[in-house]
Amino acid sequence: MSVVIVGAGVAGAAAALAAQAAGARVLVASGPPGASALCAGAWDVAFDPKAVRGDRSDARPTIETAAQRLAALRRQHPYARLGLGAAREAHAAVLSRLGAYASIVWEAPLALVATDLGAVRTTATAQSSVLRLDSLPAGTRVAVVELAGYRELDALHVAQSLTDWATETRADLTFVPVEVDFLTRRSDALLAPHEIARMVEASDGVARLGAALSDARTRLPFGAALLPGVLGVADAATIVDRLRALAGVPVGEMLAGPGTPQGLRLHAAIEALLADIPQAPARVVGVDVERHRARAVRLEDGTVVAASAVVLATGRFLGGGLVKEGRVREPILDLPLYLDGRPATLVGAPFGADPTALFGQGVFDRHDALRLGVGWDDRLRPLGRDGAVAAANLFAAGDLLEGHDPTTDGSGLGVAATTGFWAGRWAAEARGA
Amino acid sequence: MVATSAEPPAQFDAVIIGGGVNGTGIARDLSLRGAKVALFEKHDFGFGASGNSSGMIHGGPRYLEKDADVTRRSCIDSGYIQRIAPHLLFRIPFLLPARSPRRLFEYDTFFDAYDVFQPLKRGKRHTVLTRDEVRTLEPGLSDAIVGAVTFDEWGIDGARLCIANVVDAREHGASVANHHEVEAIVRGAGGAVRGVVVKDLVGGGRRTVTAPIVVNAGGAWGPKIAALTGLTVKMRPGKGIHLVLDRRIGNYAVSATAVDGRTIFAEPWQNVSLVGTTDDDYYGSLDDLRATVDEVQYLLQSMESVLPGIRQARIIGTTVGVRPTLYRYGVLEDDLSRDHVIYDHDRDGVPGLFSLVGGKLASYRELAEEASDAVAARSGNPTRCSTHLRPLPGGDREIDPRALAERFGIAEYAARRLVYRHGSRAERVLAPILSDPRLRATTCTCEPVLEAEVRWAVREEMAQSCEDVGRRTRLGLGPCGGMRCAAKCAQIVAQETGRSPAWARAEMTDFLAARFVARRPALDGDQVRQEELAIARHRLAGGLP
Repeated sequence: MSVVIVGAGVAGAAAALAAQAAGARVLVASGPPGASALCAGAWDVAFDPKAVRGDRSDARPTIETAAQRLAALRRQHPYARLGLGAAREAHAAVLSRLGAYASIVWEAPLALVATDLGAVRTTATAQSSVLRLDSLPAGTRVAVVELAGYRELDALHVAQSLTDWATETRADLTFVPVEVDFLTRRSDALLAPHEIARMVEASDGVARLGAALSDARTRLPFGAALLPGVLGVADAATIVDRLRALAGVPVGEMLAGPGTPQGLRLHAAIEALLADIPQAPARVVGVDVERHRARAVRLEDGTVVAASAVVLATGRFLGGGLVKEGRVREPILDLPLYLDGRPATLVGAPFGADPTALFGQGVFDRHDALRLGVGWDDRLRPLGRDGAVAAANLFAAGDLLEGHDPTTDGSGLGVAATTGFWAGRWAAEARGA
Repeated sequence: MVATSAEPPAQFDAVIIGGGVNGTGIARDLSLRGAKVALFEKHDFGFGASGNSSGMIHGGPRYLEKDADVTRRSCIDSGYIQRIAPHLLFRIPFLLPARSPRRLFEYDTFFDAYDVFQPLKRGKRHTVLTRDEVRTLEPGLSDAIVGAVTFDEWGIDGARLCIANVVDAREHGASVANHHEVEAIVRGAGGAVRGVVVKDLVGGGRRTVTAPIVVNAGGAWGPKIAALTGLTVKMRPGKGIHLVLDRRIGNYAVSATAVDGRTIFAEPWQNVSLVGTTDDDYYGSLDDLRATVDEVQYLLQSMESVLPGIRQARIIGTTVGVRPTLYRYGVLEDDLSRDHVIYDHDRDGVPGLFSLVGGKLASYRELAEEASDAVAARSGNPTRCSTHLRPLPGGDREIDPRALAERFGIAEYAARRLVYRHGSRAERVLAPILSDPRLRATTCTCEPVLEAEVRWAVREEMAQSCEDVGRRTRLGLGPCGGMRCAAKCAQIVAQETGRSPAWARAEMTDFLAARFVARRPALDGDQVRQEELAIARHRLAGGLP
C-alpha cells in the first residue's frame, strides 16, 4: 500500500518528496493542473506586513523577518502554527529538488522583481530567468525591452511606471523603453507567450535576440535588460546565460501573467521531480474512511486504490480543492470548512449560498472565500464534523488549508512547500498497520 | 427681468440633457434638420437603460393584448432601424415552449395575430413545433415540454446604437459631450428657459450654455432633472437586471414563465447569452446600480423550469438598468404601459423645457421624431424629419469581413466583430494599421478587440475610460472579466489622453472593481475559480495595496 498524495502542485510534490524520503511507497493521484501551473516566476515566502507604499527600496527586511512578522500577525497561518524552523527545513529539501529556483538565504533581504504591469514587488527567490533588480549596481540604466509587434507588453508604459517606482522609493535605477526586432512574420503579433518562447528556443532564436539586444545597446547604452516572460520553457536557465553573454549585460524577465512560460516552467520542474514516483493521472473523487483511518482513495475512472495514508493537496478553488455549487464545500470528503481557526458559518439564501457573504464588496478586499479552507490540527490533519481529526492518517497541505490567503500574505508557494513537506513526512510516519 | 438688446444670441437652438438612445436620437434628428444643438450626458452614452436592456428591438408581442398600438408602432420603427443601421441588427429566433397541447394551441392562435406585424420589421412568420422537433433544435429543454411556437426578433447593441446616433449628430454640427453634468437650468423672463450650467466631470470647470429650449431626455434621471426647475415629473422607475453567461448556450432564445407568472427568456446575444429580465419599482441610487442575490436567484429558478441545466452555466456578470416607465398608481410593474409621453412644460410655467417619459428601445426613433417635431415647431424650423431615411454611420453599405481580414492581416472573426460594431466604417478603424502594424495586436482576446479599435474608441467616439471603451467594444465584458485586458486598455487610454502610468493603474483597478461588482451577486461554480485567479494575478503583479 502507498501513501497517496492527492494533487500534483507544489504542495503535492513536496509531500511526495518527503513521504518518499521517509521511506514510504508513494502514489500521486492528480487531475489537471491547478494554481501552480498558473504562477509567475516568483517564489513567495512572505510579504512584509509592515511594508508601506513608498518605503525606500533598500529598506527591505530579511526573508526571515518578513516571515516572522507575518506569523506574528496571522496566528492561524502555517508559519505561526508550525514554526519557521519547519518552513526552513521544508524549503531546503524542496527547492533543491525543484531546481528551477535559486536557493533561499533566509538572512538575506527580500529580492526585488518587476512585473509586466509595471510594478515592483518583493519576493524570496525567483526562477533564474527573472531579473532581480536588487542585484543591479546603483545607477544602472535598465532597458525595458519590447519585442516589436508583440503588444502584450507596452515598454513605454512599463518603463514610465517603473521610473515612478524608482522615484517613489529612491531606488538608484533608471528605466528606458527599448524596442527590438525579433518577430519575423506579420502574424507573429498574434502569438501567445509560450509560442514566442518556442521561437526563442528555436535554433537561431537566442542568437537573433542576443544580437538584437547587443545592437540596441550601441544606439542607447543600458546596463541591464528587462524582457517579457518569453525566454524559453525547457531551456530557460541556459537561455538567459547565453543572452547575457551576447548582450554583455544582465538580462532577465519581468514577472508575467497566468498561462505564460513562467508557470509552465514550474509545472515542468514538478513533473521532473515526480518523474520517478508512481502517478495516477485521475482526479480523486472520494476517500474511504473506516474506524478512524483512511483506507483507500476512489478515482474518477472508478479505480479504488488502497492507501496507508492520504495527503490532500488539492488546492482551493482553482485546483478544485474547494468548489462552490450553490454552497461552498470540500468535494472529496465534505470536510467542514474553517475560517480564522473556527468553523465557518456560511450564510445561505434559500436557493443557494450567498456569494455576497463570501466575497467583500471591493474586488481587492480580504475575501472570506479566499481564506476559507479545511481546519487542521498541529500535525496538518484536517478536522471532521465533531472538531476532532477526520482520520488518524489523513493529512492536508497547501491552499486547501485555512489560515492563509496567498493573495494578501505573499506566502503561496512558501506555504505549499512547508505544509506539503511536513504533511508528507507525517503521513509516512502515520502509515502504520 | 426683461431681455435687453445687449444680450447675445443663444449659442444653441436646443440643449439636450441625456445621452441614451432618446437623447442621442433627438440630437441626430435635430442636427439633420439643420438645428444647432448641444447634448450633455452625465456618465457615458448608453450608460443607463439604453445600454443595459435585453439588447433587442423587439416588437413586444406581449403588449399585443393590452396595447396593440405599442406593438404596431414598435414593429414599424423596428423596420426603420433595420433600414438605417442594418449592420447593428442580428436575428434572434425565439422558442416559446408549451407544457400542454392546450397551451400550444393558445400560443399558436396568439402568434397568428403577431404575424400581422412581422412584415413591418421583416420578421418571419411563426411556426409550431412538435415535441421531437423542438428537442432536436434545443436538446436542453425540460422533459415537460410538449412543443413550442417559434417567432422572430432582432437583436441589437444598444450602446452602439447610441454611439452611432451621437456621432452622426456631431458630424452634422452638434456639440456633444459625455462626462458632463447639467447642474442648473437657467431661466429668464417669465420663467422661460435660457440655457444650462454644465460641469465637466473629467476636466473640471463649469460653464453656462445658452439655448431657448432644453430637452430633458434623462431617462430614469428625468424627474431629478425636471426638479432643477422645481417641477415634478412623475415616473415609475423600473429596475431590470440580466445575467450574462459566458457563451451562447443555444442557437435560439428560449422563453419561460417565471415563478411569479412573468415571462422571461434566455437569449444568445453577440458572444454571450443574456437571461432576463426583472421589473421592480426602484427607489435607490441611479448612479450605482447593483443586481441583488434575490434577483439573480429569481431568474435562475425561473429559467430552470424550462432549461434544467441553466445552473451549470457560468455567469460572468450582470447588467442593470432602470426603465423610465410611465407613471400610474395601483398597477403591477409588468402591466404598466410602455408608451411614451412628451411633456411640454410651457403649461407648467417653464416655457422651453420638454421632458420625455417612457418609451422602448424599438421605437426610440419615433419618440425622437416626435420630440424633435415639438422642438422644431417651437424654434420655427420647418425642416421635416429624415432619420428614417438616412443611414446611421456605418449603415450605408455592406462590408465583406473576409476581404477586410485579408487586406489588414487580422483574423476573420475579429473582422466580423468589427464590422458588426462599425459597419462600413470598419475600414476607417483599421486604416492606421497600414502605417503602424502594432495596432493589429489584440487587446481583448475574449471578444476580440484589436488595439486599433481601442484607440478609435478614444479618438473618435469620446471614450475616456476603460468602462467607456467596454461600452463601445465589449472589451472586458467577456469571460475574463478584464483580467487579461484591463491593464492594456488602461495603458492605451492613458496614452491617448495624455495621462500618467499612475492614472492607468488606478483606471485598471477601477475597471476591475466595477466588473467585480457586476459579477458578485451571481458568483458560483467556475466563475469563482476565475475570480481567485484574477484577484491573485492583479494583487501580486499590480503593486496594489
